[in-house]
Amino acid sequence: MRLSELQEVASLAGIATCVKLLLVPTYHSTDFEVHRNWLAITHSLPLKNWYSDESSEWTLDYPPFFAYFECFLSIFASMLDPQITHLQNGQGYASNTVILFQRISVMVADLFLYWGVCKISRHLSAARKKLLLLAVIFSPGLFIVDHIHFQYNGFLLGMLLLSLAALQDGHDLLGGFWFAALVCFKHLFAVAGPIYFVYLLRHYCRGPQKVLRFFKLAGTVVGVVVVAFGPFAYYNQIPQVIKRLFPFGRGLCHAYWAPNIWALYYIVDKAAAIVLRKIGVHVNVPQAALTGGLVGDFSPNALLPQITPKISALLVVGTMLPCLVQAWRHPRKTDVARWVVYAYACGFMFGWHVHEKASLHMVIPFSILAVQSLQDAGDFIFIATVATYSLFPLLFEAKEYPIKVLLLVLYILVMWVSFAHNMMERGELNSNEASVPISDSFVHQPCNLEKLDEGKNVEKQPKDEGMQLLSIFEKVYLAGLVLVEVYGQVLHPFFLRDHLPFLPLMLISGYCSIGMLYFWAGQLFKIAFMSGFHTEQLPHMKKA
Amino acid sequence: MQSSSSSSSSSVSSCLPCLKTSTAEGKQKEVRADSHSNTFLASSSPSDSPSTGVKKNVDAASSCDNCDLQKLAAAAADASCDILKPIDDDKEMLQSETDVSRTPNWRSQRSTSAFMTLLTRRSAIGTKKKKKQMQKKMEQAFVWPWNSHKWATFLAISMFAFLLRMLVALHSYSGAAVPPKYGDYEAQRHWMEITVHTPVKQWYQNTTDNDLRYWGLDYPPLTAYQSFVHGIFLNAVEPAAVALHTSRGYENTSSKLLMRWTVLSSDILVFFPAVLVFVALYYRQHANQEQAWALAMILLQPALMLIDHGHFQYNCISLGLAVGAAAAVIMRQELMACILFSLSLNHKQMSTYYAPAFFAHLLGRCFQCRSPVVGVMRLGVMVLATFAVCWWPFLSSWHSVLQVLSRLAPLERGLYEDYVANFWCSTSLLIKWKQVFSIPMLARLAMGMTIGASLPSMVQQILAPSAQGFLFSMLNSSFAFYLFAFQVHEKSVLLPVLPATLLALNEPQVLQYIVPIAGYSKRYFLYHAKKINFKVNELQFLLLGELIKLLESHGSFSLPFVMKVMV
Repeated sequence: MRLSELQEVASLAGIATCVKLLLVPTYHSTDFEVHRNWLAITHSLPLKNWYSDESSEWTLDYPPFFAYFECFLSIFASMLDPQITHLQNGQGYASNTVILFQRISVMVADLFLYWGVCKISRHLSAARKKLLLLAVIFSPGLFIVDHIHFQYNGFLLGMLLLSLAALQDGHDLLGGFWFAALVCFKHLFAVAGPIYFVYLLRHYCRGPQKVLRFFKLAGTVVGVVVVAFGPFAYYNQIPQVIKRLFPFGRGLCHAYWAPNIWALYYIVDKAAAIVLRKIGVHVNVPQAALTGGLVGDFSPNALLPQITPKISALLVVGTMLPCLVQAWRHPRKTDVARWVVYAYACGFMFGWHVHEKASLHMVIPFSILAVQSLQDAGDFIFIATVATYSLFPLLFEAKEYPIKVLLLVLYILVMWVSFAHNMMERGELNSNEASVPISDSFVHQPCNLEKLDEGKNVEKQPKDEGMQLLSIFEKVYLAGLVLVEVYGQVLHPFFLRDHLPFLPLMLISGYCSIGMLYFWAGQLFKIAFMSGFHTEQLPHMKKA
Repeated sequence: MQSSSSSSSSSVSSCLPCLKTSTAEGKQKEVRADSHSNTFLASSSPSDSPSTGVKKNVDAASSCDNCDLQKLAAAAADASCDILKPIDDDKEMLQSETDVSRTPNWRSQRSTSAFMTLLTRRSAIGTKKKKKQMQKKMEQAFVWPWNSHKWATFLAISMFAFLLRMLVALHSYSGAAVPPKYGDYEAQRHWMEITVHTPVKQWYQNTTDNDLRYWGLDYPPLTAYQSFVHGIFLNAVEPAAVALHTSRGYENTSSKLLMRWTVLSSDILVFFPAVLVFVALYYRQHANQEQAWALAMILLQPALMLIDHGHFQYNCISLGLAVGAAAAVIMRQELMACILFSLSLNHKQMSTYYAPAFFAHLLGRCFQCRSPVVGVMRLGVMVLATFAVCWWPFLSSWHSVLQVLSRLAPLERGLYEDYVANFWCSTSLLIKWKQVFSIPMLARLAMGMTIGASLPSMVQQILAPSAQGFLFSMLNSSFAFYLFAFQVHEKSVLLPVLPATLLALNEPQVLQYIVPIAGYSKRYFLYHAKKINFKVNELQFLLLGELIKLLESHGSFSLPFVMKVMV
């Protein structure tokens, strides 16, 4: 990488890090204590007890690589302040030291994100590269989830980007390696597993050496998994680990309904129950049905059939089928990013006990597509807004409220203007240029520039370039978001006061799930019916 | 035919991002093309920034076919009239498509772009492949639409500045949880308490309800009114925070948030609009991009951000009013300038630092009028009227005026406070000023030196008042005050820093060294005041300083400025 490119990334990352440092004293969720407890577990217990420890309610439920990562961090933590890594005394410990340490560890881990975004943008033109850097590094979702709420998503998404970059460059084995490692860090990323499997099988394992290649691939993946789970297998801990990783005891929806199909499902269910009761039909409405805070073993439905984990899993795989078929029939490396995004979208829409934070898994990789075609850029603006907005309820304290709003609005403003200006105008110019063979016709016919340029002007309409990014529906929908927010913040407390406290949250998740559904359906449509849809393929990709 | 036209326009516009790249790198590359092309360039592009672009272009062109260049220049001279014509007529197209239009000098721009058209075109005939590469390079650069989205740019910068202010406000303030006097936060809160619960006449008087020894009001009436308004707001939302007597040292999450928001809202209502107007007026001759840069420099000024939103004060109001007054001066609205500056003075007496500049400039303007005496009278009446309105409740008796005045000028506090990077403090290592002279003597000495130091620019302004000269005069007199005046507080460094930032595009060097120096001198102060949260605050402070530097080095943000600094 050239020095100037490094400088570019470094300066953007530096500004982002400044903002992140200033975010240190903001609210942090229980996830903060969860991760602190993991530091304590991995530091003070032998490996075989990591997944069986129950001294705190925040048990270790991420795969082994993440545990090793915490173990590595705990070395520094215990040097800094031994209380952080103390299993009993450390519980609920939230001094300045521990806050600063954990916050900074997230910022440092974000180096992976920067690395990933550098890799993936390596072959892009300067403008697109800058767009991608801006889109990923300043993603308000990452700020909210990682640096306020507290998690380590940026670093994991960086690995996903690294994997996608390797695939786009044709290094299938490396891509597979990174993905396997990623899944061993956080198993929620496994949703894209089928896509990776089919794609690598069809794209990598072919040619005369296909059997050999298959074994190489399998060896790599199995190697990663063995490194991760091997020590636990040695201590016969695997069943315990599996039990922790897949807690199906939890309900279909999280406490705050992630904006997916199940949120709509519940809303329809409740609405139907209420309507039927009004009519006079007797409906057996479960107790907790209308509290909105559904944590527990089951999520009661009044009318519609109960959803089981099996149904949810089948739906995820079923909706993923079109892109699996595509990956089987035309394993093109240019399409991988879109398939992966779609796979995460399916996982988000139909998955079991989905967190709203999982929407980042599709938004961040989708920015790769966004900088390559205008239509995807519009979709990106749309989905980034909806996904980030759906994260707002995570931060409920008053002091973060203006910050999260400003983060989102500023990001959307900057991205919108940059996309509109860097892709629309010159995207057209590119296509013109491509159609026109370079010749010296200029020398012969210099005087007709005038007329034709006029025609071009009309066609281009430079004034409202930004507005073309989104369709009418999308614009109206986004305006509706503002109304939802105004209702939740102003009208609801003013008119209803303490009645129906769940309504604003339900409205947010219901409204956002419509947007998510729209995005998901759009992606499905593109994959199913517009195969090879790349309006402006990049030259290096075409060539390859 | 068609092909020729479209490819021509595309190559014109695709050359333009190249300007950006060349400036973005901020390093002027020496051209090693032959003399012919150089002379041609000199004649075709007199303005600064495009010429570098063309130079680079030529550089690239010369790399692909060096020998052709000589012929090329001649061909360009011949063909230029033909090429110029269509582009001449199609100004609008160029304007919409490119960012060239930002400089007022149209003619030179046009010929430049025409030449560039020719260059790219001509070189392509020789080596198509290289041309393709070159064009690809040029079309690539990231472009921010400074011209078509000027207000979006300004909005984005303001929002970022506001975001940073909110983030700084999340942190602790100086003196938090340190009884008995806490810090400036408590002083401001106490003034709200006093102004809300006692009659106006008692605000500056020692009464049973108003113990002047505990953070007695020592700013002019406008600060008192501002405290009153904010106090009413706090009283409505959280009465316990401003309850009389019982609320000393009162602080919880919500009251802190409310207090922080009183500063944030003052900032956005006073300082931000004033700066926007100032930039739009003073830098109206500059390109939009430079305006945006100037705006960013002023709004992201770390010193002000930290003092107001970290340490807790309302400097944004008095400084915002002063910036507004400066904008009025630039607009030639002298009466408006008088009103705004009087208000600024009435908010914080520290604004006196700018008084010599305003006095000299307005006097100079009056001398330019047909009847100077009438002019001076008009302005004088305006100032007196503004003061009278502000001081109205205290004008009932001579005694009450004196009472307020004595609160405003506490001579007993001494020559300087603990850590001030000014003349008296630095030289006290050699001469023990406080022992050699008596306090009234020192006050007189300080006054003499201050006036002496600010005299040159005052004379200049009286003789030849001008907008830029006025700003320099502001800088000069505020520096004179900061260095030589009596009883300077380290926070006063804000006052010289402000005009230095306002002059960012004229005098980048001044800004370059004043920001770190101001930061450094404040560091003692932050250290002193915030021992508890020392680590976090130190870090945050350093980073904000770094942020400015980063923004400077950051390509899309800074082009001309960085060039000036680096060359």
